[in-house]
Amino acid sequence: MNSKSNTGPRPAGANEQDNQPPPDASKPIETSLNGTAGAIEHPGTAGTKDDFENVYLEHRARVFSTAYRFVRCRADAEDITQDVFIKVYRKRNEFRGDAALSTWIYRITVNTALDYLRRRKRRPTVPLDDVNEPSAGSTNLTSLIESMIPLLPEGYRKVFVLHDIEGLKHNEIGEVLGITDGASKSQLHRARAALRKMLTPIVKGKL
Amino acid sequence: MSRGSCDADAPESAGTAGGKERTTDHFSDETLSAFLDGDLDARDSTGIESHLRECTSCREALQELTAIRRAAAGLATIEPAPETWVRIRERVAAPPRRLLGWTWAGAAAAAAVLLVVAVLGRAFVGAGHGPRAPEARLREAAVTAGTISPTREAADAGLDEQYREYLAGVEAAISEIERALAENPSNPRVRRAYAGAQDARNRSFDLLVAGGR
Repeated sequence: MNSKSNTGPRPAGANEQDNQPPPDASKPIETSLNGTAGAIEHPGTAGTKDDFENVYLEHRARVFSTAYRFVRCRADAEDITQDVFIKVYRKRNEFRGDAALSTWIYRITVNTALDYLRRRKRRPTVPLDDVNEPSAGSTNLTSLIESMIPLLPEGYRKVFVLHDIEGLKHNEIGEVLGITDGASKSQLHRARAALRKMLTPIVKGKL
Repeated sequence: MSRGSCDADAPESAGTAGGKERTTDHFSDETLSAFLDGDLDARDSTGIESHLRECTSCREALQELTAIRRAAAGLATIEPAPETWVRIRERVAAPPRRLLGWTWAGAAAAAAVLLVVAVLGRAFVGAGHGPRAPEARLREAAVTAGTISPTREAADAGLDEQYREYLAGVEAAISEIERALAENPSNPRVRRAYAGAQDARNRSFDLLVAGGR
């Protein structure tokens, strides 16, 4: 699965004084949930970098980005990210290594994000400070696409985010979503077609 | 980006290239997207390539789908805020202690209220009442026993409130223990607490329905 450079804005109102520094992402990490029993039972003990923390370091950006693509709200994506890693920790004994850890975490992320949206009984919110409003004058296709993802039907959205943005292969998406490779491909092509249809009146002739 | 007609030299007839969908003179966006990803077999791909050489509209559509794919791949991965890890760590560390604390507090409260209900139930049995509505029998028992109020209205209010509090305490305890059980299914202390809370709930219903018999 791909990885991209990680830079991102922070939510407004973050209290710097009350926060401990984040884990150091520059240090080498290993993807393991069961390597050090003592550490995983007591995550984040002072000064140690345990397995759970390593898992967080390796997957935090993907989890947060994926959640954000679904909900288009940084505060909600933060909540979802917390919930995802809490589930990862509490269900760590259910992970048997049949699939890649990243696949398992993606599955939890997608389900948590969708549950979040269903609980709220709303369409994804688009806070004013988060959005590049589509307009006839805008030619930033990346921003336009990002703002239109929440408008896609759920099935299209899931596959489009995982394939075209997160870079998963169709067989990996099949494992995450519990669908066939063919279904994943079909949803993806429909998603792109839907996006093109939505983009047509905005960026006609500018792509 | 609109779908106009094909160029003058475009194929006139509608049809298929290897069975792939064409709308009148053009291929669908879904088919072109599949072509873009190399998901089509050789026969279909050859047919589309041939068509694209002649059809400006389909070439534009393919270019736009390519641009969409490229732009999506260029969306930056976003980092969560630094305090997210701090909150996760706090939540991971906190729940077991909090849940167990709740469990014992809830069990203690439930036991205390259970005692009240049991006393009222015994008083009711001693009074020898017949089979009436359970709530009415308990209320009357309370009045007879003189434990709450000599007036029927006050007895109603007092018993109802006490019973509601009792059940709420038991149900809250059971909910918390169930959550603790989900995380520690083999913990004997949690399992015993769960059994005790279930028993307390069953006894409360027995008291309510059978008047303590």
